[in-house]
This record gives sequence, C-alpha cells and structure tokens, in this order.
Amino acid sequence: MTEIFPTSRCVREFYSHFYDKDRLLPKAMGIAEFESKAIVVPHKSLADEDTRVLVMQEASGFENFGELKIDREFLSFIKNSSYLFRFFEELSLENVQIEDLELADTYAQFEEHLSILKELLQRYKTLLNQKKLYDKITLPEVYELNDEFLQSSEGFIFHLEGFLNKFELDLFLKVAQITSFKISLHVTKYNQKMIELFEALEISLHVNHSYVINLSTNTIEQSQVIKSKDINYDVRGFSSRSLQSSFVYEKIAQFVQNGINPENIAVIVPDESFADTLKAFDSFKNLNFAMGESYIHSKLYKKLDAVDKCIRLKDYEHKFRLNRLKIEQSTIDDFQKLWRKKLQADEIISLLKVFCDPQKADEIYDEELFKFSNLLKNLGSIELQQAIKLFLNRLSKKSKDDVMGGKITVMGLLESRGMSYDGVIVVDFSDEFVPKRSQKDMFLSSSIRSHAKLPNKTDRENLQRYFYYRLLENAKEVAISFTKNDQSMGSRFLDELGLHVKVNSDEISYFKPLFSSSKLASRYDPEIVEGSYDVRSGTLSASKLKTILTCKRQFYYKYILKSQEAKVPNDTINEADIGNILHDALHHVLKDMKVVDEDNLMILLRRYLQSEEKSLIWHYHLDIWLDYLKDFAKLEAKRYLEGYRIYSLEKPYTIEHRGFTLEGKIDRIDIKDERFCVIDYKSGKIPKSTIKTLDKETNFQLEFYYLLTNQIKEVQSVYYYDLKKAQLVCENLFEEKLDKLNEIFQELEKPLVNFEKCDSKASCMYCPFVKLCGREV
Amino acid sequence: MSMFEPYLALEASAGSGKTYALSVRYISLLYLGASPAKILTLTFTNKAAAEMKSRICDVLKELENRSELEAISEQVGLTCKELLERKEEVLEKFLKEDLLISTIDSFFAKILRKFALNAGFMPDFKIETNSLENEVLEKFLRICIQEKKYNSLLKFSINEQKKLSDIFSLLDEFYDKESEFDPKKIQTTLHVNPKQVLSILNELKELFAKEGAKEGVLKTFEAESISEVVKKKYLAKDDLAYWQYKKHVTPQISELFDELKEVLSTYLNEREKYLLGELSELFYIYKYAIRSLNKELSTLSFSDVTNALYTLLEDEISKDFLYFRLDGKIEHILIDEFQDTNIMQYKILAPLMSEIVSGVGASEFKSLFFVGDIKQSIYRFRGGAKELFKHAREEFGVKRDVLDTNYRSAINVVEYVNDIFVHEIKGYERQLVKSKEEGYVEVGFSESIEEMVLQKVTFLLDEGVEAKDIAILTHQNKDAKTLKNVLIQNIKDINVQTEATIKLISVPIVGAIIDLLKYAYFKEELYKQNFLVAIGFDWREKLDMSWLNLNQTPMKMIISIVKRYEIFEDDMDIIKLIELSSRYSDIESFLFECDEFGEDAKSEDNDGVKILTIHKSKGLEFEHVIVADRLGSPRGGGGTLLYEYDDINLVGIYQRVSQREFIDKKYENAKAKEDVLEKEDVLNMHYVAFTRAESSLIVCAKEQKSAFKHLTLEEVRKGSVHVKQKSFASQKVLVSMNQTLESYGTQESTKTLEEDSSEADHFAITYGLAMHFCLEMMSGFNKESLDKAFVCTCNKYRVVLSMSELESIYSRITMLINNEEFLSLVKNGKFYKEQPLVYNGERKQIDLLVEKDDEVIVIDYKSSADVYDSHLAQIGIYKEAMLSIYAKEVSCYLVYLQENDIKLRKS
Repeated sequence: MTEIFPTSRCVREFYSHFYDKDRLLPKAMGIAEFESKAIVVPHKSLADEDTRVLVMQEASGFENFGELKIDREFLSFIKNSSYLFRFFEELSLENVQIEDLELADTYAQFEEHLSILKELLQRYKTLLNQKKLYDKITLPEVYELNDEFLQSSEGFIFHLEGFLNKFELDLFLKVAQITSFKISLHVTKYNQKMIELFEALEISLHVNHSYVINLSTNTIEQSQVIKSKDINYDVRGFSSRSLQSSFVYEKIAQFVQNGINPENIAVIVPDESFADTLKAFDSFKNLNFAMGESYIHSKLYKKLDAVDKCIRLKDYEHKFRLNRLKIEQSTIDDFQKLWRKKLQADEIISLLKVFCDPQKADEIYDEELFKFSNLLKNLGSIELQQAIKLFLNRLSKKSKDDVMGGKITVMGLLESRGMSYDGVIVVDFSDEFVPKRSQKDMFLSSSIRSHAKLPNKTDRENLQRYFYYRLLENAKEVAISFTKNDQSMGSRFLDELGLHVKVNSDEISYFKPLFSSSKLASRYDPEIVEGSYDVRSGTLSASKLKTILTCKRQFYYKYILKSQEAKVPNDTINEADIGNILHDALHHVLKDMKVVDEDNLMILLRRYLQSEEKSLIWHYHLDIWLDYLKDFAKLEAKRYLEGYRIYSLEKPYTIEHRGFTLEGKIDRIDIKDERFCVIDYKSGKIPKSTIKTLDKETNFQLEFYYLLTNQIKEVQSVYYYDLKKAQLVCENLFEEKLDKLNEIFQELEKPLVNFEKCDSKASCMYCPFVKLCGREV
Repeated sequence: MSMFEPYLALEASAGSGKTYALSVRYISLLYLGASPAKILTLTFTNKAAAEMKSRICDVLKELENRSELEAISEQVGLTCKELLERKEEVLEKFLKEDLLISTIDSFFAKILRKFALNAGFMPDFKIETNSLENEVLEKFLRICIQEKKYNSLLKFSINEQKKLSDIFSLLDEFYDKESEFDPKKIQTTLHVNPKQVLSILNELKELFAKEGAKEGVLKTFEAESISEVVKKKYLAKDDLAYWQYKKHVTPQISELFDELKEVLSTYLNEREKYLLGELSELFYIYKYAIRSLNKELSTLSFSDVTNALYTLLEDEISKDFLYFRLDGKIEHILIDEFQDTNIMQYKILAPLMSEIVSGVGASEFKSLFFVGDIKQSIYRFRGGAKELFKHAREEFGVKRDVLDTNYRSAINVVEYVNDIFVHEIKGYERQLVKSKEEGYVEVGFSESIEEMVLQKVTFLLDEGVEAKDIAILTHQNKDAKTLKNVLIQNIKDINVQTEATIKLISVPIVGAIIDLLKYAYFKEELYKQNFLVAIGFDWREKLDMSWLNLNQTPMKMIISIVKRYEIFEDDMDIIKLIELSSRYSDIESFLFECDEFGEDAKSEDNDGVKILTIHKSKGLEFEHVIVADRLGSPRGGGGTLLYEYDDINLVGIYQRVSQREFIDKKYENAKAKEDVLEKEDVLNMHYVAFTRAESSLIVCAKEQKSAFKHLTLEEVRKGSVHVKQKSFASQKVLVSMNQTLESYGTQESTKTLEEDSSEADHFAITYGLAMHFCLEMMSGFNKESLDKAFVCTCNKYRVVLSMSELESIYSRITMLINNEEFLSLVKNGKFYKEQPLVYNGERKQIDLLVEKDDEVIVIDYKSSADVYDSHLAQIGIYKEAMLSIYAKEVSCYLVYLQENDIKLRKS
C-alpha cells in the first residue's frame, strides 16, 4: 500500500517513525508527486510557468481583450496574468465551464466580460495544443492514467486534509477502477462541504468523524467519532508585533520544561514575513524555517538587482550600492550598452554569468540559469532589460532551504497541513491574518460562485480555520499571540474557538530576552570644553570669525576637533548648492572673457550651466537663474563699457593685521582707474546690519575684504553683488562695522578658553553640530 | 413594535453617547437580519474602527449584562428575552464574516484594489505615507518638457515669484478638490503687466507733488511692484479725504484714485485668471506625473487612492460593475463623524447611499445612518465639509434626530458649556445633564499662560487628583512641548505624557543608532561623534566598526548595534525602529530613506499628566481638563487661493491678495464668507476643547491677544474639585516573562536521500533524473513498458531537455532491455523500484531491488562512468544494508547506461 500525504513534510514525518531499525520502508509520497506519476499526457509536454505566460499573452491578442483592462505589456503581463490563470485553473479543477457561469449570471450583467474570458480560454487552449503543451488548465481534458505506474502498486491511501476538488475526486475514482484507492479524512464543521461531495457517491458522512473510505469498493472502511477535548492554551496580546518573538521563546522554553520534545514544537506564522523578525532575535538558533530563506537575500540576486536598479533609476543610492557590492563601473557599462538591444539566448546567459564565482557554485542560480536558457531558446531574441526582469522575477520566487537550523520549526499555515505537534505556537493571530481574506477574485462574485458550485470565500476561509483547528486540537499545549493596538485586534476566530486572553503580559519584561542588560548612560554633555586657543596662532577668515562670534562651542567642533558637516548625499537642492554652482559658472565664464558683451556672456553662462549632467529639478532652478542672469549680463556689459576690468577672480589673499593673519578668498575684484572694486557674489538675501544690532554683529565679510585688499591698492568700494536683481549693494554700516571689527580684534588678543555653548538657540537651527550639543528640535 | 428608523441622521453633541448609539444600531441591524458583510461602517480613524469592532463583540458576548440590551430591544421590537435567546446565533454570524468596519481611506483602498487593473495599477499596490516629492517633481518636469510646457512653467514661476514647491502645493489643492470643479474649464490668459497700475500711482504722486505734499505723503505713492501697491493703507478707504492727503486732494486726484482702484481690481482679476489658467494647464501634467509614478512604483498615498477612485467611478466604472467587484450590494451604511467627511469622499460614497434609499421595494431591508456633530467640525483645513451633514440629509431624505443628553460631564461643566456656546454657535441646543456630580469650572486670566497652567496643575494635585486624570489641551504642538518642560522643571517627580508629536527619527537614541549606521557606511567622523555623545561617551573616543557586516539586512545590523553597545532601555522606540527597518532589504535602501521616515515616535505611556493639542483630543474624554490659551501669536492668514462655497458647491476660486476686498465686490463677498467659516472653526475648536472634561474644566486665558477672543469669557469659579476614589480593582494582573532561554541544539543532519552531487552540471543532473524517472515508470523490462514510460518522461522533462536528448535516454534504455546480462538479473524476481529503506538510522533509496527466492539483487543505474569510486562506495553501503535486512545472499550491480553500450559491474 502506498501512502499519499498532502505535503512532503508529512512524508518525512511518516518515515521518521521507522528509523529505529534497518528495514525496507513502505512507499510514501506527496500528492503532487502522485499526480505527476499517475497521469500521462501522450505527445504533449508540461508547459513551464513562463511559457504559459507567453502563450497567454499570445492568446490575449484579440480586440475585446482590452475590456478586461489587463496590460499586455510583457513585464506587467507576467504579474497581471496571474489573475487569469488563477481563474481558469479554478474552473478547471472544479470542472466548471464558462457556460455554466453564464447560466449562473442570471441577470446577464457580465455577459460581455464572461464572453471575453471564454474567447481567451478557447484561444489559450488551442495555442497550447498547437504547441504540444499542456498545463493545469488543460490537464483534465487531456490526461490519461499511467497504468504502468498504478498497477505496479498494491494500492494507495490518500490522507486528505481539508477539501477535495472535483478534478482530484474524478482522478481518484478512475484510479480506484484500476487499483485499490482509499481516502482517509476528518470531517469537522469547517470542512462540512465534504459531506455533500461524498453524498453524490452515496457515501454519507457526519461532522466530527474521521473516516477511511475505500473508493474502489465505494464503502466506508473505518469510522470514528472525534472526541473533542479541551485545549490547553495561553492567548496574549502585545502592543508591538515584534514583542511576540519574546513570547515565542518563552513558550518554547516552557513547553520544553513541561517535557515536550523540541522537535515536536511548531511555530506557525500566518504571515510569513514575521519569520524574519523571529530569526533576527533567535540568539540561540533554536528555530528552523520551513519557508527557507528567500533567494532575494542571496549575493547573486542582489548584484543583478543592483545592476537593474542602477540602470533604471540613476541616483546616489544605487551608485553607493554598486560600490558596496564591488561591482565595477565597466560591468555596468557593458549592461548599459546592450540594455535595450534584442539579444540571443547565449549572449544573455553569458551576461547573467558575469557575477558567478567559478570557484563556488550557487546551485539555485545555476539551475535557474539552466532552465532560463532553455526558455530563452524558445523565446527567440529578447531585450536584455526584459530578460533581466524576467530572470529576477524567477529568482525571487526561489528560496534556499534552511539547513542545520534549530529543532523547532517555523512554518506557514499551509505547510502545517497534515502534521501534528505537541506544542503549537501561533503568532499574528489577529483579525487581519486569521483567516487571511483573499481579495483576489477579479472575475466572479459570490453569488455566481455559489450558483456555479465553485468554492466561495467562506469555503476558503473555513479551510484555514480547519487547518488551525486541527493543529490546536492535536496539540498538548497551545500558545497564541497577536498584536493588540490601535490598528490591530485578536482574530474573532478566537472567540469562536472559545479562547480568551486570560492574563496580560508585563511587556517590559518581554523586552529582556530581545536585548540583555542596558548600560545606557545619560548623554555626554559637558558645560564647557576645557582648552584654549590663541586666534593669532592661525589664520583668520571672515567665516571663522563669524563662528567665533556666534558660538564658541561650534568653533571648537569645527576648528579644533576639526569635525566636518556630514550629510547623506541626495538630490534635493538647497540654496547653497545653487549659490556654489553660480559662483563656479561666473568664475569659469568671466576668467577667459577678453571683452564682456551681453549676448556673448549669456551664451557662455547658458552653455556652462546647461552642460552639467544634473537632474531636471536642478536644470529648472538653473533655467530660472538664467532668466535672472540676463539683467546681470546687461550690467556686466555696461560696467565693461564704463571701464571696469577684472583684476582677480576667486583669488585668496592673506595679510597681517594687528597681529592677526587675515585671509579670505575673494569672489572678484574689478579695477578701474587704478582703484579696486571688491565684490562678493550673493545669490540669496543680502545681509543687512542695523545700528541696534551692531553689538551682536557676526558678519564682517566685506570689512575683511577691505582689509585684505586696501594695502594693495586703493579700494574704491566693497560690494555685495546681488545676482538676482543685478545690483551692486554697498554695506550700509561699513565704517561702523569696521570700527566694531577692530574692537573685536582687540578682544581676540586674549586666547579663547572654555568653549561653551552659545546662549541663544537661534543659531543652532543651521548648525551642523547640533546633535553633539543635544540641541536638535 | 420596532422603533427602527431606516434612514437616520443623528446629531450627537459632545458626550452624548455617539459610540453607544452606533453599536446599538449595528447590533440591531444584526438582529433584524442584516449580514455583517453588507453593513458598511466607516469611522474616522483606525483606532475608532478597531474599538468599534471589539465593542460590538463585547456587547454581544455580555448582552445580558449590558445597558445596550434594552435599547436594542426597543430598536428591534423584540423582548430582551427573545434577544438573548438568539444571541449565540447572531454572535456566531458576527464572528465569522468579513466585516466592513474600517476608515473611509481603507475602504476606498479596498475598492480601488478591486479595480486596480482598470486604473492601471497592480492590485497589490502599497500605501505609503512618505511623500515622493522629488520623484514627482522630476517626472513632472520631464513631462513638461515633452509637452512643451516647460518654458511657460519657467515664466509662470518667475512672473508669480513662486518656487516649484509653492506651485506644487497649489496643484495639490486642485488634486484634492478635483471633484468640485473642472480645471479644464478654466481659460488661460496671458500674463499681464502691472505697468498701468504703477503709472497711475506715479501720476498720483506727481499730482500730490504738484499740490505741494510733503515727502512722507509722496512716499506712500511709490511702489516697485504690485505686492507693495496692495499694502497701501488708502486702498481700504473710499476716498483720500483723510490724514495728510486731505488738504491736497483735488477732483483730479479723486478721479485718479478711483481709477487706481479700478485698474488695480482689473489687474488683479487678470492676474488671477493667468494664475488659475496656468495652474489648470499644469494640473493635468501634475496628475499624469503622479499616476505614472504610482504605476511605476506600485505605490499610492491615501489621497492618490481617493483621487484615482473618484476618477475611475466618474469616468469608467458602472454602478453594476462596482457592486459586482464589491461582491454584492452594500445594504446598510453607518458613518461616524460625518461632519469630517470631505466632498470627494462624499461623492464617492453618494452612489452607494442613493442605492440604499432608492425605493426598489419595501421587501429589501436597507438602511442608512450617519452620526456626527457639526459643532465639532474642526478639519476644514484638510477638506472636512460640515455642510455635508445637512446636504446629505436633504439629498437622501434622511430623518434627523438629536441626542440631547450629555452623559460625559458633570452638571457645572455641561451648564457652563451651554451658557458659553448657546449664543455663539448657530442652532446650538442646550444639552441635558445626566450626571449627578456637581463638577468644577474655573476660568482665569493671566499674562503668563505657562505660569497659570503650572499653578492649576499644582492646585489639582493638591486637591488629591491623580496626575493621570489631568489633561492639558493646547492650541499647537509646540505649546505642548513648552508646557511639558514647564511642568517637569517645576513639579517634583511629575510624569508628563505628550501624545506622539515627535517623529521617530527625532528620538535621540533612534537618531544615534542611525548615525552609527551612517558612520559605518559613510565613514564620516561627525556621525560617530553624534553616536558617542548620545550614549554618554566623549566625542573623541575611538570606535571600531569593522565588526559590522554591511551586507546584512538593516534589521540585523540594528539589533547587533543595540546589543553590542547595550543601549536598550525598555524602549518601544527602538523596537519600532527595528520593525520599520525590517521593510528594507539592504543598507542603502535604509540609509537613503531614513531621514524621511514619517513614523511618529511611540507616545509615552505612563501615568502622568497628559498634554495634547485640541485637535488630537477630539473624541477623547478626561477627568480634569485644563484648556490653555495659545502661547505664541497666531499664524498668519491663509494660502494663495481662496475658495468660495455655496452649500457644498465650489462657486469661485480667488487669488488671495491683501486688501483686495476693498476694491472688488465679488472678492469681498467670498472673503466675508471665508471669515465666517474661520470664525466657526475657532468656535468649534473651543467647543471641542471645553467638552472634553468629565469632572473639572479649567480655562487659562490671556488678557491680550487671546485665542478665545470669539468667546465672551469672564472670570468664573464654580463648584468644587471632585476626586475620584482610587480604584484598585481595575488594576490588571500582569504576568512577566520569566523563562530563561537556552539552546536546544540543531536539527539532526537531514537524512540524505541522494548521493551528494557536488557537480554543478545541471544538464547532467537533469539528464540522469529523467533517465531514472523513465526507468521507475516502467512496470516491466520490455518495449511496451518503455514506450509508455517514455511518454510520461517526455511530459515531465520536455521543458528542460531537448527531444534528441530525451530520445537518447530512450535508446539507452532500449539497449538495457535488450541486454541479456541485465535481463538475467531481473528474471524470475519480484522487483521494487526506487525502494526506500532505513539503514543505520539513515534513509536510502535503491533504484531497483530484485527479490528472488534465494538472493537479493541491488541495482544502481548510472548514466556515466565518471565517478566510479564513489559509486562503489555507495553501493557498498547498499549491500551492507541489504545484508542486515535480509537473511539472503546479496549482490549489487552498478548498471552503466552509456551512450553506446551497457556495462554492468558487480561489486
């Protein structure tokens, strides 16, 4: 007798009972393996997933298909066609024809819609047949039994969990004609539908019974009442989802303490994404993960994905990523060159091998590559970028088995089918996940479904309830947790099962296992930093002085600790960036201009500013500036005619003044009649001083410039050059500020000591060191 | 007799038991036969939705002990006994079905998913709260260039002195109001020059100069731009016969002054047309850019969801199709906080509501219910339209009812609120008091609100009030922060709890962890220094980060940082950061986005005094409430555009210009309406604030520039502070985690089935598998069996092997079944293919096992002779195994099915 189980996990479990002694084993297999062996399709081969999508895409090439609003573009079709497949597969598994649906659609409301689907299915089937292929959809129509295989066994018994579909039932009935075929099953209130199904075979079943049914003789061989027993449980709600992991570890420890074998404990994750969190906190490596590790975490996937992203979306993030993954720019260039070219299979495959390590094979990658190359051969030439998307999509569905993990298995609900564990822990038992409600029914409504006798939403949800129910019922100890906060509450299924939160958790104690002891001291926040600095010992620029006057602590960070502003590179643009690029442009353009005329200046500025490879937002800002610069060009031309000539551009000057070494890079000095006109460009606001605030003044830029240059030549004036308005603006309190500056110099003859934080927090807003002082808002 | 009113709009003043009424209504519907999947219940927040669900569940479960029982009985027309008899059945139905209790936003997202393909999205699109501003801008500009709109955008930007981000926020407004007007209908005009206005101004100046006016007077007629012109104070006057102008005014000047106003008014109208015209042209590009990004990234914001759904329902989806995808009609609608619904939301919901009230026959049981309070409408700034309450009632012929009793507040509080607002709020109906408690009301004035709040908190504490029963309501977020500091600095050992008003990334320890990651990645010293300082070290300390593997997931890195530096202190914010980081697959995706994280920090959860803004306090209630006046000065007025409404219809859009109301009648009218609404907003806000109190209400008002200036507040002190008895019984018993964790070892090495194939040649592996499969499928060793098995093999392997490769398998097996030596081995035996067995606790599988009377033969098929040694070893084990299982002779053979011949090797 060959045993057939719902999953291969059950097969393994079945065999594990025989390990005590050397012997031949009874044969056992998963249902999928059974089906693949019991069925033959003469002269056709099974279509793989990508081929099916391609055939479906081809089939969809008719006029009315557009009404379904499914994008036929290749890449999105890969995703969207899943709705079509799901729909057609379900019909085929339940042996329902679209005609049956049309009859069920009593008001003929969706006649058009259904007739498109009918046409599509027809075309799809025809194409598959033409190509000598079959798939799940056409299988019921084309298969034959594999007598060779079936006859070589003494018979089969299938351990059913949940529901049986029409296709399977028909298959089993046929097999039962050839050899003995039995089904064992449990009927609970969640899979009562099975009673109807077997009624048609004149076998009458009852709720809360387990049966062995012999399909060959059409008799019930065994029947047993399932005794309901009390579930020994603990249900808890946690305010944060990840705190549940702590609960899981606690319960494992407790179960083990109560004598349950660790191998006999299962952690069920209704939403598999929670496995990552469990894994991250599993410091004793007690868990193993049935779902494996998604292949998207593997090196090769990441590299290929990084290439794809980098070429599609050019920004900093992707460039940095390439750097970390050690991908050469030349590799990117290779891909980039061929990105939108149609390539042959072998060209694509050789590009996809670029990152493979010849020393260390990656089995999943190699296997997928092998299968993919077969597919590509059938596809003919395809654009590289499409091929990569397609390949990434295939890889993303793969996962690496979790080998050498801990003894306690973490699994999704479906994986637990047919298994029983002494200790069962279910997390995320919230209304959102239990039961999981599928919103993916695109083509049928519940009423049509029930008319056409297709499984409806309730059936699907009940199937999940059935699996939970079986797990909980078979367990000696059960622990259930869920997230309980504004967004989430426990599943109403708990109430249905009669399970309640009996005690609440002291959440703080549940933090402990996640992170051991804390040694967090209060922040390092000295009132003063001891030390002294003689300003005369180094050079002094206007901005350094500004820092000294604004905040001694900032001065310490910047000039003594020599810390520099740190920023994550990004594409957002601030005023300062624009100011810098304008400075560069003016410098670059003016330095080689012998004669300044308006048109020429504009042409050169435009050329310079538009040449940069920048984002469109940058160009927008620069284009706005080019408009402002028209007036600037006009003024420049006028000044040239008036006789002003450029004396220096962006040139550093140094000078000794009252024992200080002053320095500064001056944007521009014009000269006329042997007199200097010193200029500082401003793209933003022009600083203004008032008598009232003179004592608190920190900006002495123009005064610095004056001091730096007036010993070289007589200075006619120092100006801010307002680039936006094309105006030269004099410092309004120049003399007063010069006096003030000299006063300051006098004070600065004393060294700076004890670098304290400034009083006012106003200047903290733009200070790069604000976090060091703890003054961020 | 059932009292059930199928179409009902319930006006529920603050504290009048709105939630109670909602759950009574819901449960009554269940009893009247409604299916939970067909009762659409819309709430304003997720929290309210979750509360609603658990409340209904709780009420149903304990129906016999609940006061709702009687109310339900009245509604349903059954006796309490009858209700209780059917309780289990009703409860079961409620527990099983998919509920339609959610926020409007989630409900819309749910519908949109069902029509995602129609809108060009993937049905599993993500919903993001982080804005994609840069991406949208970039896309927007690209399309502008393609559509040749770029230059006019530049000009617009320069002419209107608007930054791209300003233009974007205006486009955002259009986006949210798209259901209210058709931007296509706005005609665009050319940009107009203010020259004429400025020249008239100059003429006036010259005329005054001619009349000998002084410099000061003349200066008021100087202006370089319109923005300076509109600030001129004389625009508010009918004529210039005042101040120093008076003595210089001539008829010519008067005439010119009138002309100035007229020309200015015309100019402003033209400019407005230009502004609106340009905006509406840009709007379509903007919307297109957003949609393209939505599609590309498969990500939408909630306002994208609403807008896309609106567009879809407007243009594409028939009502029947909507119900089809919704899986049946919605038969009952309950809407909470109806006054906060916006017009686009309303227009999306209206067809569902009209379906309910359309009289398809009395046999169908359908109902419509909305509840709200226009006095508590405080969300106009984000679109909430309280006018909808009345409008919907009239449109759908819904009966109005009022909850007239206050269940929340003590006598003095209710009466005080009645007294204050009865004259201020139109249609205010005095609430009846249910409470027997006297209550306490105090209104005081002070120069320093901070001091007064401090004093009042101290007063309450002195009276014996517990800190957790005190709530302070503020006008602005930053007021809450200030007051928190004041309390902490001045009251010893006080706990203060502010509602989540700071971003997660602003929490110092969270910022420090992120800084350390940045240091590990970007190697910039400042990040390291920031981290060190935050965890209590000198910034000069050294920090080696080579231990951190940057190729891990961000979640793993953060966990190891927290562990290594031992910086975890029962901190929900760190947990939140970890949960957030789990969404990012690698360090770059995390670091380049982390500065934009929109998540709020976890609000402090302690038993302290609560401080929150009035807006946040909506829907909540507190024992003792202190309402604090605005600490700073109010924010300056309004956006660029002013929208004028008639009922719920947008009838005009104006450009807001100061003093424009003095020169433009239509604008004046719109502005006046707007002023009324603004005043109502303030009144409503204060109504909300004052009605939060259960027992005591204390108002701290400023003497000057008070935010309460619309209310006629006077100093009051009435009643006395009532201190609730401390209830120990309600204290929950909490269990602590007390297990210590240990390792339970690893899984026993997986019992291998197959020989370990180190070869990476997938072709060879696949080929070998196909051959084995074919051999397994053969029931005998003859051509007939092979032919059948070969069909099976082709089914399975044609996808990965070529026909000629498959045929070579066929030919190899043909040679095998013609090989005399092989045939003699299998003759007269019973054979088992792919036979599993256990040996030494390991599972093995034998290709072919032949059982004869006196011997057992093990056969292992090979497709190539390459790795002979390991084959021998493997088969050696099989032999040992067979000897241990059978008491018979055992012989083992390696059978090589080679391309040209068959070789057998006996071991």
